[in-house]
Amino acid sequence: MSPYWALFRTEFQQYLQYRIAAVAGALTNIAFGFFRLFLLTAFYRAADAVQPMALPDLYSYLWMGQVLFSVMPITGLFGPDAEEIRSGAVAYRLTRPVSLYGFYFARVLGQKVTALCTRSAIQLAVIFLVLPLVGLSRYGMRPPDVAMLPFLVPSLLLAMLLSAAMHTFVYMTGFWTISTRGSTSISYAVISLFSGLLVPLVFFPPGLRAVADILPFRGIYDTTAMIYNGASSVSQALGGLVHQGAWFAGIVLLGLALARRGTLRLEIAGG
Amino acid sequence: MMHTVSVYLALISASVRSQLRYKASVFLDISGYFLVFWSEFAAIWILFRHFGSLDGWTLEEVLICYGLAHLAYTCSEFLVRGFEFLAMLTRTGDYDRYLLRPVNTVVQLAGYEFALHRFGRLLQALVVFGAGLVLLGERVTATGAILLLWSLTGGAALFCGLYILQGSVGMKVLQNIEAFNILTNGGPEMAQFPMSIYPRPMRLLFTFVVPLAGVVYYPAVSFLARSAEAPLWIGWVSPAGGIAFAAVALLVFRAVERGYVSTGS
Repeated sequence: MSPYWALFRTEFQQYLQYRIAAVAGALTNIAFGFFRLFLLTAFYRAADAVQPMALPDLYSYLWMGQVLFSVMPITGLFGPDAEEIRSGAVAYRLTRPVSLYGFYFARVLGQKVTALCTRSAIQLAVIFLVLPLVGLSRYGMRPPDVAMLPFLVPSLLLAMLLSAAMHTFVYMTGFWTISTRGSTSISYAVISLFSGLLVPLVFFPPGLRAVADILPFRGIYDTTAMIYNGASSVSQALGGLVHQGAWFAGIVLLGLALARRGTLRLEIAGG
Repeated sequence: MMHTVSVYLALISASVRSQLRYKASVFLDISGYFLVFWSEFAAIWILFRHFGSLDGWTLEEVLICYGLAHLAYTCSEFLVRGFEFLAMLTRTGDYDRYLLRPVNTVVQLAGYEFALHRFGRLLQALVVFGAGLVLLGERVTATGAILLLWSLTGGAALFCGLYILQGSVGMKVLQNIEAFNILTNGGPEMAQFPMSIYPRPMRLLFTFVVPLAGVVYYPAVSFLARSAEAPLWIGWVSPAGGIAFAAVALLVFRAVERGYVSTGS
């Protein structure tokens, strides 16, 4: 069994132990989802022009964001792994016969898959089962567009991989900084805006939208959510998959380069 | 009293000096934190650019809510974010030491940290608030300014109360409850928009139980003279709700603290 698979599996099993935390986290995300939902509903109420996205589709889009939130390279950026690289404890990792980048990538991916199987799964259950029960089905999430399933599954998979690659990339910057707080807050700012998490990309003014389309961040959320809603044509969906795949490859390569440079001139903090 | 104040100042200055050992880091942290809130602000700007107005409020009017909510929240973070560590201090038994010292425990916890990176958020909120005031031009009056200061006081007290409550619950159950984030982190995110956009049960909750509306929305309504939404005198009275909330939170904390049993380790 490859060491990376073992790392991935340990991470998964370890996080499954914290079930209560997963439920609490899921409910918190649902509450934040409602804040966004009420805000946009109020904006829609007064708008007279036809909107680029119908209200039920918008709700699905927003819920997808809350569901994917725990997978995005936003939560857990401050984790013990980042601290390891910063503090120099990474030296222990270097003594192991595995690639440093592969080590962290496998762990991050394990954490993300776990989050998807626990937190996100609980959220989906609440959205699809509890909301109709308490009479809030009008705020619910629509089922996925079946015709787009062949695109949805790979797109979701690529979104996870791309998130893990970005997350690992931010870790690797820890070789050069004393505190990761600065780089993590800047990553949060850029990622939350350009992925579509704060505002759906369809509302962006054209210039900013063009920038968002090129940047990799829409690949961790917007691309998948639009395919889920059936809002993307087949060619748009294909384009989205290519965009996700290309950026995944690119960011992995960049991360590997950072890891190599970082370890070449690594100074371990003593202690 | 003088002694308590000087202890608090000593704690803060120790915290500040230790952070200033890494000047570049502090600078990066402050600027990083400053930038984060611009991206959230950009989101609001994008929505207003697309839709024009929100429930009859223009962007510059909403900026008053934004400024009040975020400034009050940041002030409370500076003051009492240390209460977040209560769960940990109780779990490890370190709280024994706090009880042994001849200084008010609330002051000791308040002085737990004075995180300089929060200046990034403070600065961002000030810039947005200032821009809102400039854009509103002659609608800003001297009495209005007094109202804003009064509601900031009430707002900071309310958020302090929330952190003290969170800490008290943490002391009781030995861990921080993530759901509190809905009120603490979520508080400014929700209160930065006019309360009228939320459904009735939520409005009632945030008016009478956790009086967020009383420290942001109603004062903003009075300040902007939007008399169609509420009688204008309400905004002058309602910030007192935040202070009452903080007082209740302190009583709860004292009650929980009395039941503290050391882990003995």
